[in-house]
Amino acid sequence: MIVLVCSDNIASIFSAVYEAWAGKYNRDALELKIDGAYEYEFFKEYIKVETDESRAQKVVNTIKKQFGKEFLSIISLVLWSYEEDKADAVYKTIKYGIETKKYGNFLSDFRIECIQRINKLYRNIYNEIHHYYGFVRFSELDKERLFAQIRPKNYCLEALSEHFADRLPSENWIIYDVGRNIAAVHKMRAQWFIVRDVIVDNELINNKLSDREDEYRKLWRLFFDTISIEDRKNKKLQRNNFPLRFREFIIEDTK
Amino acid sequence: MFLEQKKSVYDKLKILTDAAKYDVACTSSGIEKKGDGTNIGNSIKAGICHSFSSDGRCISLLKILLTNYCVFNCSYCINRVSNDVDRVLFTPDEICTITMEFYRRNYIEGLFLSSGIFKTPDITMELLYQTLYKLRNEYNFNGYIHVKAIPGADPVLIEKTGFLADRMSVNLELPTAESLKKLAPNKTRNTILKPMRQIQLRRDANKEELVLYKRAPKFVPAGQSTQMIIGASNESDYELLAVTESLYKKFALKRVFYSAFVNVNNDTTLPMTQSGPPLLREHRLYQADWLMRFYEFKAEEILDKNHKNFNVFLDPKCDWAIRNIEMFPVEINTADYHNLLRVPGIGVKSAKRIVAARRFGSLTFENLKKIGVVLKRAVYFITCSGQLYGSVKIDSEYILRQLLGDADVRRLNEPQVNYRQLSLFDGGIYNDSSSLLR
Ligand code: SF4
Repeated sequence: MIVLVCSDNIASIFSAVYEAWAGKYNRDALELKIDGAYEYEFFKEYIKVETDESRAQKVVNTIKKQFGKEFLSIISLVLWSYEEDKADAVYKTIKYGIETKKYGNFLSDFRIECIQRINKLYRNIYNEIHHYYGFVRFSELDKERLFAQIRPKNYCLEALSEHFADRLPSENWIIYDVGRNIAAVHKMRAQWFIVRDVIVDNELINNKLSDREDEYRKLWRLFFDTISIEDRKNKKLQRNNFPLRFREFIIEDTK
Repeated sequence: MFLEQKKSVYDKLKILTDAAKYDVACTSSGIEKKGDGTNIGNSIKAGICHSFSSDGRCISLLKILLTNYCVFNCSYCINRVSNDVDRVLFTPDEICTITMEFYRRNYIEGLFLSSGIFKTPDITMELLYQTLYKLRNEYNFNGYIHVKAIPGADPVLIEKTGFLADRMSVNLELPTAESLKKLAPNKTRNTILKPMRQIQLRRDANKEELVLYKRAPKFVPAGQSTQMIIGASNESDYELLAVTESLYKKFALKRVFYSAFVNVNNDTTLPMTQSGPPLLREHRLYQADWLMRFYEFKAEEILDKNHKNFNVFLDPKCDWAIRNIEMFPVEINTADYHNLLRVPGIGVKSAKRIVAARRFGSLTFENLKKIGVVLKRAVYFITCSGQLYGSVKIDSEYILRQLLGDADVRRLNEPQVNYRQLSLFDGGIYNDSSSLLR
């Protein structure tokens, strides 16, 4: 069994898919793994794949041509999943599509295991992004800058930035993925961009909160506490709808 | 009159949130609106929940009243004129500022503005209009707005306001004209249905305008909704469903909401709710409402003159399926979409997935699980390639026992079982979200 080892990014994973197709290996006895995210197994041969943008692009073109844009956008989202087997599921799905001569999006074929997996990974990241649309909380710093922190399981930052760039075009904002040390920076009426290896000092942030920030936090907490109907109190339902892991950076008191 | 002006925004927000919380609709759904690249705000068709309060309900919109001053005297309402409560009035600028500041911090998806009747319906509607006008044109807010149309207000004001809102609603309050007369003496069926009809017709006309001229201003683009109070008056579930159905059909409403009655005034002429509001009943109504909106059910199929009230033990879809057991089993690999929808355990999404997936080959029970079918319920009503699941029998007695257990089946046959005796359910998980009915 050959294991192609790639890095955790789209270009590298698609480079590995290209490599798998180059004819050097038996495609049926091949796995894709993300570097650093697997346990070494004695009887397998591990081969590190070099990232090659132009090869990755060729894979993208082939996928788009044969399986369509919708397929490509689902696969691309899946590659932002935090699950370790995503690269292999994508490889197996593309392999299945090519070998069985599919044209157009075939991800609705729920009979096939790797496709079930793709759908599951897709739903998971899609739902997390949608949750964060609502659960992101911006704090206002001096000079009207907005700052938010998130800790998603999947890599949601770019999808979220897309959303907030559309929603808050005239604001300066930063969304910081605490677990990955990556931030998206949006300047008023400009394109947002990603900055890596960011470390945020929470004390510094707290010292920079704007003068009115506290007032609006208070108003929001007041609203939150008042809107609930005492006779209908149902913490279990609240917990189901609003999992604890999304509450780390919220302002309201949900205890 | 000027005394209340001394109240801080904090105090006003407290009073006017508290007075608005019994209004149930907090959804921001129904419209996909991209940002315009300059101004703040956009909308997503499915709506977005920003938080969940300790009653478990979604918080999407800043749900407040413009004022809790009210000249009417609805017996179920905390703001009725005969109550001695603190009264305040927001200025339009106060509402705009809170909305904007909450929105840019991503606390909310928009504004849901309602109001007591301040002096007259016209004065109230005018104030609502001014608030929305400012929010859209001075504060340049492009997010979601849901506003109440005030019964009895000048149609011109309602029309002007409708061009600034995404959604409008007039509360039906109570299901029948008779109950309305008893509990809301200042309102009539007519003053409620009139603006409802006006909004419907104006929306129809607007759709044509938009065909002719794409950039014509939009009138209530996310549609109209309404709500009824459940359990303050004596209607049966069947009557409630029939009213709901005709609202969807005759007034083209997007949503009908139900609000389990809470006797906030401890009014002795109304049912007491010490053992909690009728949440199970409200829950069943939402389930039935989903069946009518997404599962092609008619009210008559769910309840009828001989079954006037919901089965407390079974959800309405299971209940229907067991009463119509001769229509089952449904064959997964050949049944059309409409018949798949009728199977308990199969939701809209999974029915669509089944239809899409079986083009590639026959599906097995194992496949159905992955598709998202709730097999626990579905197995009693389906076959896969002609096979029943394990030793399952298609027999209503047998299925009832499997789904409920012997004890509940026995209770099912006691004629006097009703909602009140089932307070054991009240700690359960009820809401009106889509995940609830599959
Ligand atoms: S009109 Fe009736 S329901 Fe509305 S605020 Fe006044 S008393 Fe309450």
